This record gives sequence, C-alpha cells and structure tokens, in this order.
Amino acid sequence: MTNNWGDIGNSTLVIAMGANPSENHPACMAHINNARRGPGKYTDRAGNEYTSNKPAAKLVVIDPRKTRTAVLADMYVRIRPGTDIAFVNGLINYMIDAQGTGTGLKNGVHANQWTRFKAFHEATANKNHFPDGVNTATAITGRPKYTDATIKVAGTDYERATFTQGANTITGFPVAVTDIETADTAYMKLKSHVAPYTPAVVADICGCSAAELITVAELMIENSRCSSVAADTDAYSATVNDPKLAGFRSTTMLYAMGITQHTCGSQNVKSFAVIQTLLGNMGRAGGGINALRGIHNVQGSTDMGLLYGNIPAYSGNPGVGQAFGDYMNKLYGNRINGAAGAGATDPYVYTNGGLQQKGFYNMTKAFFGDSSYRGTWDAGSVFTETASAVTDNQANMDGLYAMWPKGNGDNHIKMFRKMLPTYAGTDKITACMVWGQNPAVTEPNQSKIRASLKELDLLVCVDMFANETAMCDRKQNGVDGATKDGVTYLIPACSHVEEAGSATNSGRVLQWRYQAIAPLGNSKTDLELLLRFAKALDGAGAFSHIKQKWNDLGILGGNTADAYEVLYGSQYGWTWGSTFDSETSAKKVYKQMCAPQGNGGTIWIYLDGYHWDRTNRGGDWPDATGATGRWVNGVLETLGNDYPIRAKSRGKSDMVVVSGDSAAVTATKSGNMLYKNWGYAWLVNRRVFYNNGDVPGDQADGFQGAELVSRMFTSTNSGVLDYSTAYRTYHRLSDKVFTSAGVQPAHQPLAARFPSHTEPYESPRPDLASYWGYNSVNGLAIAPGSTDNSYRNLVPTDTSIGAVANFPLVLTTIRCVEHFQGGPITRNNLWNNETEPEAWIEIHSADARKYGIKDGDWVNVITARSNSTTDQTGRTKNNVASTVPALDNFGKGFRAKVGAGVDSNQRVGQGVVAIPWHWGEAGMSTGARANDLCIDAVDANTTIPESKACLCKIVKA
Amino acid sequence: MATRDTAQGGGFGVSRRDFLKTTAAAAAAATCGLGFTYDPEKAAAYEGQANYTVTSTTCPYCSASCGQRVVKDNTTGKVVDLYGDFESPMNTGGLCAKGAGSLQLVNNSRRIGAYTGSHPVNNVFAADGTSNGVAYKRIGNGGWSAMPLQTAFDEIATGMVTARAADWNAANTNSKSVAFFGSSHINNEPNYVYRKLIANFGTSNTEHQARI
Amino acid sequence: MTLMAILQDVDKCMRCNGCVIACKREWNMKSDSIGIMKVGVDQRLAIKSQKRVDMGPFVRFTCWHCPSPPCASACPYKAIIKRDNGAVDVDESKCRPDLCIKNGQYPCQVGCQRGGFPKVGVGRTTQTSPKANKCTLCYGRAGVTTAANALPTRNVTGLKSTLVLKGGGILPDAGAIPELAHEPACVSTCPAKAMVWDSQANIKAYLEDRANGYYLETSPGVFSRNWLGNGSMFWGGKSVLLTPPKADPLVEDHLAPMTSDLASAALKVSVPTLVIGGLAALSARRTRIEEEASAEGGEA
Repeated sequence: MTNNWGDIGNSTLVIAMGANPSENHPACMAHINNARRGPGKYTDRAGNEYTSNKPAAKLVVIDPRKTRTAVLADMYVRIRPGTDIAFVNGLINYMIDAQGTGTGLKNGVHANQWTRFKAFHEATANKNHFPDGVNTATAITGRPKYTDATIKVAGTDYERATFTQGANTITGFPVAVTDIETADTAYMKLKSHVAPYTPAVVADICGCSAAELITVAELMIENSRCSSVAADTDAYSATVNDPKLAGFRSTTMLYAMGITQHTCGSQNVKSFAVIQTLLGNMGRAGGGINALRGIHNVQGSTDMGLLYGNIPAYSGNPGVGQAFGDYMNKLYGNRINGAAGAGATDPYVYTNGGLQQKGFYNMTKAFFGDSSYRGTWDAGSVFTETASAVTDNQANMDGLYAMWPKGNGDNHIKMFRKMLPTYAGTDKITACMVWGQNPAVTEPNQSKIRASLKELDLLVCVDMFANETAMCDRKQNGVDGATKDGVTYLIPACSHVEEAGSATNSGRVLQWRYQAIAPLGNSKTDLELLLRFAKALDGAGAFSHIKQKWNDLGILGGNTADAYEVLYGSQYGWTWGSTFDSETSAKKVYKQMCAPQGNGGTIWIYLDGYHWDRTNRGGDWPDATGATGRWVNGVLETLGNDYPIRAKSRGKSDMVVVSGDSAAVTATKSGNMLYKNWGYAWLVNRRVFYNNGDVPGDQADGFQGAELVSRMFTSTNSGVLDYSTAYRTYHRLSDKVFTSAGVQPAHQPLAARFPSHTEPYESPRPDLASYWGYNSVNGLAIAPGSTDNSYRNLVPTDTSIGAVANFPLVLTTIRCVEHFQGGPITRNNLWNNETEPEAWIEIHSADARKYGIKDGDWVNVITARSNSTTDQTGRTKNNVASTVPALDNFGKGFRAKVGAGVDSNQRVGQGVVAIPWHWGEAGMSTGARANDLCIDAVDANTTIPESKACLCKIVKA
Repeated sequence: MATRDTAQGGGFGVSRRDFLKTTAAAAAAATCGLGFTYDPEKAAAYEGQANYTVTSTTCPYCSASCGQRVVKDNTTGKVVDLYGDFESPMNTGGLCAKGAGSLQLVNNSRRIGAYTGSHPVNNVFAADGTSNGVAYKRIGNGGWSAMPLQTAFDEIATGMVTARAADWNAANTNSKSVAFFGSSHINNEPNYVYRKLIANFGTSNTEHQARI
Repeated sequence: MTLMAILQDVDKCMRCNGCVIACKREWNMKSDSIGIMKVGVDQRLAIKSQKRVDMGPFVRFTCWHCPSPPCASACPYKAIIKRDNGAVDVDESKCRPDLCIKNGQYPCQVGCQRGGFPKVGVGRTTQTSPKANKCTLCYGRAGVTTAANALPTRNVTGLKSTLVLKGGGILPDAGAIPELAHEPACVSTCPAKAMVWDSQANIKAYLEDRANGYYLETSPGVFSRNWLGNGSMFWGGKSVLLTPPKADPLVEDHLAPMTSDLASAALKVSVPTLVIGGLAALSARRTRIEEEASAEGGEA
C-alpha cells in the first residue's frame, strides 16, 4: 500500500480491480463505506466534531467475477481474466486522447482539468542531488518535480546529454523539456504506446463494452488531482490535499492477487502506477495504489527478507565475489565504495553510510557477531543494551561480511523441481523446513510438488495442525524404487494469542501483539522453537564456519565460543536452560531491529524517525492491558515515536504529515483518518507515501519517496529518474514480450517499458496471443528447463500446457471469507466449516447447460495437468479423514454453483469458471485441491504463479 | 469425535458474566448517521474486571490487521472470549467470519500437542500434560510417534547439516541443497530470527507466502 | 426501559458472516449434530442472499421481534416472552419442545410468518436438552433473564443515539439511552458497520425521514417505502429494492415469488437488482426483471 487502510476513507472514487475486499478484507469495506459517506458532521477519534464536505465516493469493481464487493458497487465491469493491462491502457488512451478525436481531457468540457493536468506534469523544482555520488548543496535548477512526463525518451531509455552547472559536470543526464506535448517526451511515448488500445480493441480483448471503459475513464478524470479544488502546481498543498473540502477529488486503486497472479502481474501493477501517476493521484490522501495483502504479517515477512533474492529490509543478497564496499555502495545512501581510510567514501566508517547502508552494516554485526549495539544506551530501560565487542574496522567487517551467503537462492518453483527424484545436481534439495506454511495445498501444479515432497530425505513442518504438507505421501525404503526412508517431523506451534511480537499490516503499520496466555500444552512459541533449533544447529556444527572466522579474526572467543549464546542467547534474552519469556525475548529482537541507526538498529525501514530517546519517549513499554500507556497528544515530531504498540489514539492530528505544513494547515486536517498515533508505519511513520523524493528537504526529514512511486516510463537502468542519488539500485522489471513467433510485437516497440497487454500462458484467444504476445523474462531463465529465447519461458518445460481446442473454459481461483489460504487454520474450525462446508465451482448457466451440469452436482475439473478427482486421490496417501462425515469431500471434485438469469446477474461470465483453493485432504473439512489444476507459469519478476487464468474443461463427476 | 468438536470454542460456564456490571465511563459524543463513526470509549464488559485479564492482539488472518481483545479467565487461565477492539482504527470493533471465530482457533481440540486426552485426528497428537516441548516423527508413510522437542531438533539439525554438505561452497558460505519455507503466519521477531538462522546456516534458499 | 431495535443497512452488508459466528460465539452455540450446512437449522441468525450463488443483496435472516409475537401466544408453556426492550425471548426453563410437538411441528413455529422462529436443534453447550433458540437481541446474555441483571457489551453510560435526521427533525429519544450499552454481538462485530442498535422510535424516525433516503421514487413523484420491520428488527436500503427474506431458513435461492411490502405485483416476482445511481427508473427495472425471468427459462 502506498496509502493506508484508513486513508481509503478519503477517496472520492474507489476502484477495486482484482480485489474482493468484501470477502478477503472485510474490514476494508468499512473504510470504503467511510469514503461513500456524503458530506456531514463527523467525530474524529479524539472525540472532536468536524465537518466534511467531501462528496460521497463511488465504488467501481473491475473483475472477471461479480464478487460480493461487486454487488455492493456503484458500477461493475466484467473483464476476461488476464486482461487488466488492456483495460488500463484503454483508460489512458481515452483520457489523453491518443486517437486525436477529442476524448477525455482533450474534450472541451475538461478544459480546466487539462490545464491543471499539464501544469502538474510540467511543474519544476530545484534539486540538490547529483548523480553518481556527487552530493552538492548547489541546486540543479528547473528539473521536473513530480513525474518524468517532460523527460525525453530515446530508444528504450531517456535521452541523455552532458549537463553542467557551476563546478559540476554530469554526463548522461536526462534531457527535460517544458511542454509535455513536445515530440518524444515520456508523455508522448506513452500516448503512442496506448494508441492501439482503442475502446473497440479493449472491448474485444476484455469482453466488456466500450461504453463501460469510457464511463470508468470519465469517472477517473472527474476524481483525480486535476479535478480537485485548486489549480495550483503543488500537489501537497492543503487545497488539493484536504479530503474534507467539497472540491476534493481523488481516486484510490485497490488490488490483490487478482492482479498479481498472472505472468504479467508486475506489469499489471505498473499499469496502475502509470495511470495514477498520470492523474496525479500518487502521494495524495485518498489516492495511491494499494495492494490488499493476504496474510496478517505477509508485509512483515517480506520486510524480513524471507525470499530467495533478499535479506531483511529490501536489500539484495550479497553477490558471489562481491566485496563489502561494493555491496554497500549499491544500497540506498551515500557513495561509499572507497578504500579503508578514504574519508567520506570509506565503507568501514559506519557514519559514512546512508540509512540502508547503516542498517546493513549493523545487521552484518548482529547476524554474524555478538550484537549490533554501539555504546551502552537506553540506560534505565528494562532492556539496557551493552556495546558490541566487535570493533568497527576493516578486518572485522570484511570477515563478518564474508559469512553472508553469497548469491541468490532458487525461487519456489525451482526449489521444488530440484527436489524431484529425476533431478541429479549437487544442489538437489534433500532437506526442507516448512514453517507455518502449507505448500502441499498452496503451490501450483501439485503433481510436481507432491513428487518433490515425497522424495525429500528430511521434511520438517511447524504448524498448529496436522496439515497436508506434514501428512503428504513420503518415500519408503524399498517401495517404488526408493533406497531410503523419508523422515518427517511435525512440531506443534501456538496460536497468535499465545505469543508476543509485532506484525506489520498491509499499510505497513506495525502493531504489537501481547501474549494473553502461555502456549497450550506442549506447543511452543515460534521464537522459542527457533532459538531451540539454533541451539541444536550449533550442536550439530552448523555454525563452525562462523566460529572459524571469529578465530581467524581473534574475536568473540573463536573456535571455543558458545556460538548459540553469542549469536542468539545473549542477543535475544534467552540463555540456554532458563525459562523462556515470550514478551522479554520478542522485545529484545524488536529492539535490535528498530533501534536508532546510530545505536545499531538493523532494519533500516523501521529506523530513523524512531526516536528511542528517553526524553521524548513518554514512558516505558505500556503494560499488556494497554491501560497505562503514557501516550500523549501531539504530533510525531514532538511525541517521539516509540513502539508499535496498541497506542491510544487521542491526538487530533490524524492527517498526512507534510514537511513545512503550518500549524494552521495541520489543524485543517483533523479527521483525515490516517491515525498516525496508532502503531508505527514504516517509513518514519508515513501513512501516505508521496512522490517528491527528489525535492530538497526530503533528505533532511529522512524520507525517501522516489523508489516508492513509479514513474510513467521505466528507464532501462533504474525504476526512478536516475538523476537522483536517492536510489542507487532498484529492482527493475525483467519482462520481455514475445509473440508466438518469438518477436516483440511490432506495434508495441516500448512493450515492457510501458505495460502492454499479454495473454495468459494458457489463452482462450490464440489470435490475440499471436498479435499481442506473451509475457516472458529477459535475460534469466526463471523456470527450470526454460530458455531465454523461448517465447513462453516463464513456465517449467515439464509443465503441460493446454490448448483452447481441448480445454475451452478459463479457470480462475477465488477465495471466500470463511476460509483462509491453504486452509489448516480455518478448515479445522467448526464454525468456519459450517458456514462454508465444501469446495465449489461457479459456472455460468449457459456453460452448465452445455456440459450437462446442474446446480449442486459434483464437477470434475480437468486441466492439461490434472483432474480434481482420481488424480488427486492417486497422489494422496494420508488422507486425514474428517471427524464429520458431511465435511469429508476429498476426491469428489467441486460442488456446482450454477448461475441464473442474465449475464449481469451471474457470478462468472460465459467461458469462465471459478474455484476456491482453500481445500485439501487433511483437516476437519476436506475437498478438491485447486492447485492440482493450476499452471505453474510465473510472473517474470516475482515468480507469483498464474493462478488466475488457465484453461480447463468440466464434466459431471 | 463429534462431541469433542462440538465443545470447541465453548465449554465455559453459564455464569461467566455474572460478575459483570455496568461500570462508569465517559459519555460518548453524538455523531452522525449510520456511518463508521468512531467511539473510542466503547469497550466490552470484560474490560477492567478483576476476574479477567484483557490483552490486545491483532487478527491472525488477513492483513487488514483488525484489533482484537483477548479475555483470559484468571481462575482457569483459559481464553474465554475474543472480540473486536473498539479502539483500533483498523476495525473499530469489527470482525468478519474468520476473525470473529478465531476464539475457536485458540481453543481447538484438533490443535496438535495442545490438549490432553484423546485427540480427534490421532491420539499421538495429544498433549502429555506438561509444558515440555514435543515433536512428532514418522518414517516413510509409517505412523507418528512423539518425542522430546530438543531431541527432535538435534536430529533435524544433524540431518540439515548433512544435507547442506552436498552443495556446500565454503567461499560463498552457501548451499543450495536445503530449503527453508515460511512464514507470513509468524510475527516479525521470529521471522527476523528465522532469516538470521538461515543466513547463519548458510543458504539463500528461502521463500514464504508472498508469492501465493 | 426503552424499546430497542436493530437496523440493518442492506446496502452495506457483504455477507462476511461475522455476525453469524459472533452470535455462535456469544451464545456458545453447538454446531454439528444435524450435519453441516451453510445455514444451521437452529442458528439464531443468518445472512441470506436474495439471489442464487451468493449474489447480493444480503439480508439478515432473523426474528423480527413482532410487537405481538404469534409464537408467544402459540406456546403452551408460556416460554416465549416479549421483553420490555422489544426482544422476543425464550425462557428455556419453561421451554419443552419434547412435549409441545404436534404432527412433527412446534406450535411456536407454525404461527410464525417470518421464517419459523424459534428453532429447535442442537442448541447451546449450556443446554442439556433440546430447547428453542432464536435471536433475543442478546437479551440478558448467558442465562441472565432479568433486565436488571442484563449485561452490557459496553461498560459505558450516558450513550446517546448516533442517528441523524437529515430532514432536520429531532430524534424521539435524543437523550441518553441506557440500553445502548447492551449492543448485541452481531452489531458490535459487523466489519462494514451495516447494523445499528438504537431505540425503536429513533430507528423509525430515521427511516421515516424522507431526507435519509429510505423512500425510493418508484415512479415520477411517487415514493415507496423501502424499509421493512415492525418490531425490533428493521431493514433499510437505498440502492436495492427490499423484499423480506424468504421464509425457509435452509434455502439459499430466492427466485421464487416473495411477499413484498412494496405493493407492486411485478415486484413480487422480482429479484432485487443493483441499479447504478439510484432507482429512479422503475420501468426500466421492470423490463429487466421480465428479461431475467425469460432468460431464466425453466432453470429456476
């Protein structure tokens, strides 16, 4: 989320595309309902009455399925699965009049809006950043302020020229003009890129009507920055950013897995970024692009870098052969790839680094040394920390840095392929730990996953329930050619009320969870289990290479050290053998993550603005009831920002924080529903990310926004305007579009630089696939066996791909409110099962008639990979039969829910079927696994599988 | 087993609210309409009662992160109620089917290692009445057996180190012959320690649910 | 004691079933002895769809808490009581479904026009023999049966109505209403804030106020009431035409004719349909309903 849950209430147009908050984020609907309130008197959380004159918002749902959100919407547009970019590009086409017929903003009725639109994109500012590490106080004058619309484009990059100002000369500096309609600007390139997406073409691709497209486009024009009250050029002035004014207009775009679970998922999201940047809706109250994330702490686990290409806090893995200084230099911050003793570029001088660099420096010490702390600090606190015994110097930092695993791991698709019996490399995965996850339900193309899990020598599951992964079929010595037994361990974990810790929500807000009771029975908290596992690993010699390094460096006791105690016990408050205290240990970990950078904090996104200063702190950790929290009214800067606790929100200043706002402006923002005194939002408690990261002053307040807002045009080298030093490196998108002839579509020369329509890997429209192409990955074979020059290289070569001739229906996966993800934590609850007892399939009545299916029939869904009856039971040996016979439906397929009435009254359109993916063979309620059917083609950048569009056929089971 | 299932989330007595009386609090300001109006003073009757301890947490399901209030009966030490937190700006007391039912996730007889007595799935998963850790193990497709937690971790650690050796690259301190999955279902602190442990162990083969 | 009521805004309900499960939790409802179904036979509360395949609008299916409840007069043991706060409550100490049943039917259900409340099924974990169960507006909670002992969900006094009459009138119960602290569990848990708990007089005044939008212009200059309820349960909507929930608690499909408070014969066979931007054009709606009916063919 660029914005926040509460901020959705500030919108005047809510577009939910590929998201179904009614079922998957019900609390979100309250915020949407907030936005839909008309003008009136309201009370903020401080109990103060305020008047809002903001008009009631409209809710528009664009989705293949008429969801429970759609039935509550003001407008619903049904599109074919996997055609989101075509729709968005069609909106842009109409808005900026790519046809030259006077549509959208070029229609005379929008003359005022066009003027403001142009002024916004042509706004300039003076910037004090120079590229390539040259920081200077001399501002570069007149650079584009908010967007790259006036930057000229040459080929697939910005046009560049030598730039000189004062003593500074920069080569390869992007060339900007003053009028967006100058030839070859990013704006004009976008215009030509979207030109093929006429309403008629979009209607054909998406299966909607041209009128629906135009209606949405007009709604977005009317609810964007250029339609807001004032015609000023400052996107962040109160007049265009106060959502209580009658003239306020802003569109928020909500999305979820309906957008991301495509081979072009990242491009889908980018298309949102493009249109919202174009309309000036980024960085505004009630605007932005907002991913409704699926799991309570998926933002946190992503922050913590549990990904094959990441370490915590969005840093990449150090590369093979990459030196410390070079790695540090690639992070956000200052140029510090100099030699030791090189002054300001010496990477071993801690204070030379920027936020991310300091965080990584600290993390290297905390991960491979004794701790990250500097000096004895926070004296008098419950958790006084003492300084690290490892001196900050070149030898120590190079030595500890050497302990980081170098190079990326494999993505999930590849990892499971490398477990297969047929895989013969030394990197065949033979041992796997699965913590709080259920890949035997959640991973696509289960026939491969099941074979992989079966083959493992060692499988360890940590869960509250005996889930499908723990119960899966395993190899046995002498059976089916196996030469050894597969050993499975299952370790009981506890529920969320039995463990203390913080969780980061979709809006990046950290909140503290207090431990209500000790873990029940023999179960343990995750943190205790991990510390026990660390102790065991140390005992098994797993850390001997680290101890050897200490020995070489002459630190921390070397080979004779108790590595567990140094790395874990002393740092996280649990000396081996003592009683584990969840609150104490969790707070110790939290403190290490979030300490000020100067004192050794490791997670840079949680740093800075996190003032661990007793003078400002306002008291100690509040007690578990929250009753004695000493939180005082006031703004962030004077309150001091403490723990992500359940803080009492009594401040009147629930508003967008804008540097330089006067007190009067601040007062006008009461009731902005951003709740900035509740919890802690990274970065620096910003509830709305705004995109003036290139403007002087932002460095000073520690907020860097440039990376966090997409530009319309993505250059070849970085995702941001690269005259800014704000982000040295950026994970640029890897997409490459190929038609089935293996070439980039001739009519889309900037495909992938700008989002362009691509068909799902199993497309019901081969004619469109040959014209628009498929999304593929550039320069990296992301799926095993695929090659870079293949036009569909995002799917493993051993995955069967079906054709529309044999599999005429599009299969899309869905979720329901009563069940959750892979299901173990809801399919074992009777209340949840009772309200949603079995897996079902939604079918259009015409399709049902065609295939002889009646409402309530069991349906076998068949794809090129599997069916939902015999195939699934065939690869399942340990069906944990439900204790409730009525809930035991594994092997039966899916229960038909046949639509009725005209198209607009049916859940799915003709040619599309929808199935939930929560079920599997273990638990109180069992049922067909959708992921046996789904394709494991993945997104080029994120390796998210294309669960939302594959081909199938259906027969009565 | 049906009877055990029936008892889920329930089992507490008739009189659990007999103590509870209206206690004093401030008057709430008048607000407007059928809207999502905030009422921070709103609190359920357990709050402030001597026999109960009420703590805060957030919902374990989607990332709307609805605030939850967890009621522990101080006499029995059990969680007896779990409802929406009226003070949380994320939900103002609201909880959907999953969140409203998450009491049953806590007091769930199908949890492994959590309750003594017969277990609905397999009696091996019954707790032994102590708070000592336990792990379950099966060989091939054989039956489950219970064992002390630390013994299991020792065996697992040995197995992981053996597996790591097949592809261990000392220069890169990295091995790709092991894999670690998880998890968006655990808090930031264990996630951080888990990621550290994976780095200490020497692999970058790690993934979690962000992709699915 | 103030006569209280719940108002459900059907425009906001998204059928997340939070209220259903909060009700089960609050009242320790058992679940499974009859088998598994989306709508439990003795559930005190359900959210039902007015269309097939879970299509909205979603309507709270529950006791209407009639002013003169026929179930109460039919009960031979006087176990069903109309409480002062409007709740039609069951005194389970008097309820004898084992004795009152005739021809397979319970007298209290026979007279009910609103879905056969109360229900006799598996009941609560605190009940040792079958009893009638139904929505009681959370009256008393957990066995407390006198108003004096009734327990609040909010330990707050002095609560006042949050309803506003946009037409400018003054609420009948504008002062503090002690019963507001006894908010039913379903109302508390609603994530979309689709329900409100207030005095019956305030809710009626709120619905009657034309400026609040619960009278729809069904033909030019003609406004029809688009809210339902006469006891302590009200439904209101601005963007969908309301018809009462179908009586059969176990049936999800609602294509069959329903009794409608909206008098039009055409509407009696209607499937309430979402109409963008209000409901001004009823004739267009009728056309659509006819189309739907013909498209439906014999499938219904």
